[in-house]
Amino acid sequence: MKSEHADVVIVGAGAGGATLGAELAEAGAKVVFLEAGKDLDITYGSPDHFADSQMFFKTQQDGLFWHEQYTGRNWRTDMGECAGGGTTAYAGVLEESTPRDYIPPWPFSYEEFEPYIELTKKRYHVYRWPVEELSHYAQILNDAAGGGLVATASGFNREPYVEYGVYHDRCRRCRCCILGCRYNAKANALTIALPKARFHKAEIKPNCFVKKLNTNADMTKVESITYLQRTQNGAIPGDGIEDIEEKTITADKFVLAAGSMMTPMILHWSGQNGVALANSSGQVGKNLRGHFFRATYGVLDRQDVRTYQGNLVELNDGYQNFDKGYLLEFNMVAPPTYMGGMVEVMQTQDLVNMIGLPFKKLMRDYSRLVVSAPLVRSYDEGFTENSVLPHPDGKTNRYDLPLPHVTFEPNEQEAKWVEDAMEHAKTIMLKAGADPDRLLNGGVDVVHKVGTCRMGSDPTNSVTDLGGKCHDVDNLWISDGSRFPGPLLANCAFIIYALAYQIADSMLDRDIPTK
Amino acid sequence: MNRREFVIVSSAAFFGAMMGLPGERNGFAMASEAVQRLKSNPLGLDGPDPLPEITAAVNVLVPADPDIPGDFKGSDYNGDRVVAYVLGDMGQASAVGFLNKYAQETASKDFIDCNDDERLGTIQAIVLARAELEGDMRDLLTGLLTMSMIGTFENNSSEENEVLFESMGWYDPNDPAGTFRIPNEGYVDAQIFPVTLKKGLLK
Repeated sequence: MKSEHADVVIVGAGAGGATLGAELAEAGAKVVFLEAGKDLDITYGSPDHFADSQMFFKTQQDGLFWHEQYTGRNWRTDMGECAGGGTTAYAGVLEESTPRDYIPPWPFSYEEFEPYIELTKKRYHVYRWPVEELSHYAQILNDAAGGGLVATASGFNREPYVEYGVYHDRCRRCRCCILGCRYNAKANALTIALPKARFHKAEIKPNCFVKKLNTNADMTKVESITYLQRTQNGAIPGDGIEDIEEKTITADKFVLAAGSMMTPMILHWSGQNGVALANSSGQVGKNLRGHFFRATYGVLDRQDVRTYQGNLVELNDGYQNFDKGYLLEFNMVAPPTYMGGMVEVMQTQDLVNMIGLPFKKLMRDYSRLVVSAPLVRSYDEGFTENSVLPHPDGKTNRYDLPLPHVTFEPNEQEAKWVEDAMEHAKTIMLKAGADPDRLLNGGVDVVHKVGTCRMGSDPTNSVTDLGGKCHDVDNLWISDGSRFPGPLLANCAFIIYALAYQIADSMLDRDIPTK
Repeated sequence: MNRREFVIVSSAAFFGAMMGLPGERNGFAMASEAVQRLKSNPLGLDGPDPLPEITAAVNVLVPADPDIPGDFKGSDYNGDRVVAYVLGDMGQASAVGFLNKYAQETASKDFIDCNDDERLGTIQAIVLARAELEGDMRDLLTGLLTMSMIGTFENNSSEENEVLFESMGWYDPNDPAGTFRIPNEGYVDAQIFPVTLKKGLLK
C-alpha cells in the first residue's frame, strides 16, 4: 500500500473544499485534494450539458446512495462529483446572504459574519442585474406578477481579467446561463478557487473515493486517509470495468468537504465499535434540511419567446426573504431537467404514449417552456427529524461500506408552504399566458441539502466549533454545507464559500477577516 | 449546445428516465459518446448500413409531424444510419432480435412484418416491461430511442432545413447571419442572442 504526506488533505474540491484549500495553499501549506469525481479545467464552462448531467448525477450512477422513496419518487442527491463540485452545474446562482440567514440557532450574527460575506461577494463576483435589464422572458413574468420580480443574484465576471495565470472572459449577457456558459464567465469554485489553489501548488487528485479516516485508538486524532484511486472515468456498476487501487495519505491536518450527504457518511465509516468519528454529540448525520418544492411546468401560448434565454428571477416584495415561507422563483431549465421533469410528473402509461410524435411535439415546446420551482424554507429550530445515516438493514455499496440511508419529510408547515407556493406560481404563469390545459405539477422534491454535521459552541449538541474544527478530533475540520446549524433561506453556496474563508482564518490563526 | 446536442441530450434524459435508469444513466453515456463521434463525423455515414428493422424502428420513433410542413421522418435525417453507426453490426443484430421478441409477443409476427401501429405497440411494450429487462437490454433500448433522434433537425439540405425551421418558428430566412429568429424584438435584449444555427453544416 502506497503512502504519501501533505500538510493538509481536503476531501472534496467543491465550494467549501476548494475555497478553503486555495487560502491554505496561498499561505504556504502543501494541500492535496481527494476528489471523488473528474478533474476539470477552467474552460469547462459546461457548454456540453452531458458532462454536467453525468457528473451531477454521478453519485446515483455509482449506486453509492440508497434513496428513501419519498412520495413514491426518488429525489436527487444534488451532488456535483467533480472538481468544483455542485457549483459547476446550472446557472451560477449565488444568492446573497442576508441578515435573515443568521437568526438563531446560527451561532453568530450577520454583522459578525459580514466581513466574510463581503469577501465572498467580491471574490465570487456576485451581482444582480437591474430589473430593467432583465430578459424578455423575465419581463413577461414580471408583467404577469404585477411587478416585483428581480434577477436572482449570480456569480459571473462583468469585466475580463487575468488572475493566477488564468484568463477570465466577461459575461456577454446572452442569458443562456442554464445551458452552460459559453464564455467561461461564470464564477464558481472551479473557476475562482481552484485556479488559485493550483497556482499555489495545491494538488488535485481526481477519481479518489475516500473510504475511511484512520485515527488513533481514542479517535482524537486523524492519522491518515484510506482512499480508492479509481479508473479515470469512474465506473458504472455492473460493467465490471472498474479498476481501483487502495492508497493511504497522511497529513498534519484533515478537512472533510464532501458535502452534507457524504461528509457524515465518511465520519460513520471512520468510526470504531459502531461509534462514528467526531460524534460524541450524536449529531453526525442528523438534522438534514433543505428546500422543499413542487415544480410546475407550463407552456406559454405565444411564439415570441425563448424561455431558456432568461434570467433566473424571483419575486421580491416580501417573498425574497421567505417572509411568507417561500422564495418564488421562475427558472430556466436545461433539456435534461425538462425531460426528466416530464417523466417525473407523468404516469407510466402516459409516458409510453409519448413515444413517437408526441415526443417531437414535446421537444418543440422547450423554447416556450415556463417553469417554477418555488423554494420553501426549512421550518425548524435547529433540529429536524431528517437524516442521512448508515443503512439500518446493513446494505452496503460495492466497496462494502454501509450505504447512506436518507430520510426526508417536510413537516406540516413546510408542506403547507409547498402548496401555497405552487398555487402562487401557477397564478402568475397563467397570467403570463401559460396554456391552462398544459400545466403539470411535479411531486415534492428537495434541493440544497445542508445540515448533518451542525456547528455550535456546545459540544453536546454540535459536531464542529465555530471555526469548523470538530469538537472531538484535534486535527479534523469540516468545510461544507453540513455545518449549517439551522434553517437556511436562499441558495446555500454563498454561505459555504463564506464559511470556508472563516475556517481558513481559523486554521491559520489569522486575524479576521482574510485580507 | 447546438441543436443536435440539444436533441440528443433531451432524448437521452427522457428515454433514460422513462426506462427507469438511475440518473438517466447509460442514456447519457451513449448520448455523450454519440456526440463525440458525430463531432468528427456528422453524418455517421461510414458505419454499417442500417438493418431494415432499425430503419423501421427509427421511423416509428421519429415520424413526420403532419402539422409541420416540410417535416421529415427519422430516416430522412439519416437517423437510422446514425443508430447503425453507434450500435455497430453486433449491436444492430442484438437490437433486431430484441424487437422481434417483443413483436412476436404483441403482434405474433416479426417486427419488420408489423405495420406502424404494431411497431409502436412493440416498442411501448418493451418500455412497459422495463422492470423485467436485463440491464444491457434497457441500455440498448435507451440507446436506440436516443440515437433515433440524432440529426432530426440538421441532416438535411439547407433548403429543407429552412422550411422546417421556419415552420417551427426557429429560424428567420431573412436574417443574413443565419441565426435563430430573434425572439425579443422590441425588448432591451433583442440584439443580444444570435445563436448560430449551423446552417448548411453538412454542405
